[in-house]
Amino acid sequence: MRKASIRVKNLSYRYPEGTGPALEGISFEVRPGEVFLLAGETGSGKSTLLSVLCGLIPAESGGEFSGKVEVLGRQWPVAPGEIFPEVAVGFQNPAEHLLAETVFAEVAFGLENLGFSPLEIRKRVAEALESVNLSGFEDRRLSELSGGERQRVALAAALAVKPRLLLLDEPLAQLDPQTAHRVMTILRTLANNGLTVILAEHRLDLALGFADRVCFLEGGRVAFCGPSKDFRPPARKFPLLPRARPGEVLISLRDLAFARPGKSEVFRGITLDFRAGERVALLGPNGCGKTTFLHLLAGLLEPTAGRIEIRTKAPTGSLLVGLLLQDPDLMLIRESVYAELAFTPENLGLSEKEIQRRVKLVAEKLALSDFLDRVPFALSRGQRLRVALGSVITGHPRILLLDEPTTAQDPRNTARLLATLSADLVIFSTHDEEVARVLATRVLRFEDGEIREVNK
Amino acid sequence: MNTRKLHPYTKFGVSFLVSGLSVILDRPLSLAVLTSLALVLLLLSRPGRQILKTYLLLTVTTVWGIMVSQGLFYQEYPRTVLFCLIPPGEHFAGLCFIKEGFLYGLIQSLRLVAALSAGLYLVTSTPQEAFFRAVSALPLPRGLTLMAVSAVRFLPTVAEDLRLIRKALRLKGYRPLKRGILYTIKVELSVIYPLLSQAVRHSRSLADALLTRGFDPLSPSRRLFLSPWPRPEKILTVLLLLLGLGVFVLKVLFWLYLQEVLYVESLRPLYALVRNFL
Repeated sequence: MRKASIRVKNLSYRYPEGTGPALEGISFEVRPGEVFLLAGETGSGKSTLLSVLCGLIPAESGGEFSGKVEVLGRQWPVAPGEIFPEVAVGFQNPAEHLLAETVFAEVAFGLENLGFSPLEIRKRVAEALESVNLSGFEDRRLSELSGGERQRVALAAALAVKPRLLLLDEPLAQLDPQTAHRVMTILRTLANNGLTVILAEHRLDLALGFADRVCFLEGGRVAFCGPSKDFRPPARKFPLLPRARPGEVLISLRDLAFARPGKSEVFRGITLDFRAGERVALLGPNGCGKTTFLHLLAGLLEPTAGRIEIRTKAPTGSLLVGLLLQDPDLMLIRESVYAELAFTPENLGLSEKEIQRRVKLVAEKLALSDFLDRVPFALSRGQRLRVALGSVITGHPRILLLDEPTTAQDPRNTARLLATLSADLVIFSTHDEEVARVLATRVLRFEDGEIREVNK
Repeated sequence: MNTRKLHPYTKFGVSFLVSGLSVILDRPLSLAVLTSLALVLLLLSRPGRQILKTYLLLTVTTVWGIMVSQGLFYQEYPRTVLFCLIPPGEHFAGLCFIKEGFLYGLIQSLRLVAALSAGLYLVTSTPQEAFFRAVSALPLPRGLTLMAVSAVRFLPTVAEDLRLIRKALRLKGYRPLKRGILYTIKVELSVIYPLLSQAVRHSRSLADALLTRGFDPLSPSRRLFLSPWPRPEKILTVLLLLLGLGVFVLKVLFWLYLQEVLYVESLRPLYALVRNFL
């Protein structure tokens, strides 16, 4: 048997100031040329484990680290720079990790750091781009690429340095099924040629068939580790949410189209009605226009054609439309959770007594009562999301728009979250098909610039 | 002639010269000439309509803002009162426009406009990739040049974040001045919290990407994929920088003469040149 590329034994890790361990007692081995899939819900520890394997943890992150990690014969802790280019990484959100302006410069960055000649760099960049089907994209600006194309650029940048171990965090997140299949085929071919691939991925339907082995994480622990053919994803349990009969039309869209200046249309010809009592899920891969659609409904953007009519008014002391941004941190502006929750009722001109009543009620509903004196930015990601949501629902909005409320929440929490919302109409975006199917009364799928109704 | 096509290093040199001269020069005429040259440079690069609109807005508000404020609040002597908004009273010195203040404001605003025009020319006429490549190739550690480049690159992201934060505030019922000036100031200032949190997150992501891609902040710069600097432009840039150095030396000599530290009879024509034109 070939020597393992990676040996992890009894690994535990707690982030600095973390309330509990992010990883606990993790053990596994990965052999050369394997496609090794790390699976698990959001927050289960997949990304943390990848950060360990690329050396960022513990060398650059601090925290409490224990156990043994050996990657390509090196014992941890090792600084990430010491294992480059043998180990290359593709991060979860390529948009945040891309360093250059053009595709060529991005893919060439690692090669420049290795001191290759311009000729060799050009050759390797061309090869890497070809391997991800992006030949001819060299001079394109990264800001002009779709999410999926950026993801492939990130993959090309990782492949260009010819690593022995490739670590990829959610490489399929922004890809349509065909492109995702193509990327997985590329990874499988590379693995067959000796490259070891470890990928953290939640789209198991697309990745499982290409993986040799699976490590399924739950709450930072290994729940399953073995051949992918033996793996059955655990069933997710969702509480049932009450369903109301759809009432009057609250939002009416007619021939709606939207395009950013100088770019093609995100969607066109959208004619839809949203009614009171509906809980609508917007489905589709990242970058398909879900966020843009919610921003249009909230009035943050103007449609390029068609019209949006909101056929209701806000009662006194209430907001008409509330929006939870995809990045809830952009909504936190106060020095305490209490002040944050009180912000909207203050702006609605409510009495101090009414503000206190609403804050108390919402804090209880969202399990925030113990944090009212805390600084919002000192809370966990999931808690910050609940604070941001709370700061909207203390304004009792009639229409509530939620952009990815499932982020950093397990299904049970998501269901609880949706159950607490008392708005007449709730529209939420998610990439989680099951969450959409179970928790929504109506599902809309974004595909190729169109929005299709999904029969549940 | 299209100044857009000049090599980034030539543009750096010209911008550096204009910025330097705008600090060294004192006479309104010479500053006006410098500002005009910088403006011609900008116009010859054929900037878009939006850039010109922004430029006009910035320059007009800068020039008039500084001139009016200096005209009103000039404290030096002599003073020539042009007219008074509030005439002086028994216990009040009045609020009057002072001619010397206007002139002083004009000089200060010309300095700003000259540097602004040159900077805008450099930034708007150079493709981003070429600009970043040129900065990265400067003889400085890569840690510094990459930081400078990243700071510029993330400006649009910060602007988009700021737009979203303000829209989110509006959706929460916030309207500036509706609940008083103090409340408004407090809310407007608090926008800094989410912006800082985003900046920290972006920095962290950037650092992770750099650490895992073999980046060494102390390594020297590399001139890869930067187009060669044409010889005529190189010579022109050196001559221009020498001209700037010459003006600087003249100003120093003149200052030494004024301070009665050094006086050279044969330099009298140069002293006159500095006194009247520089």
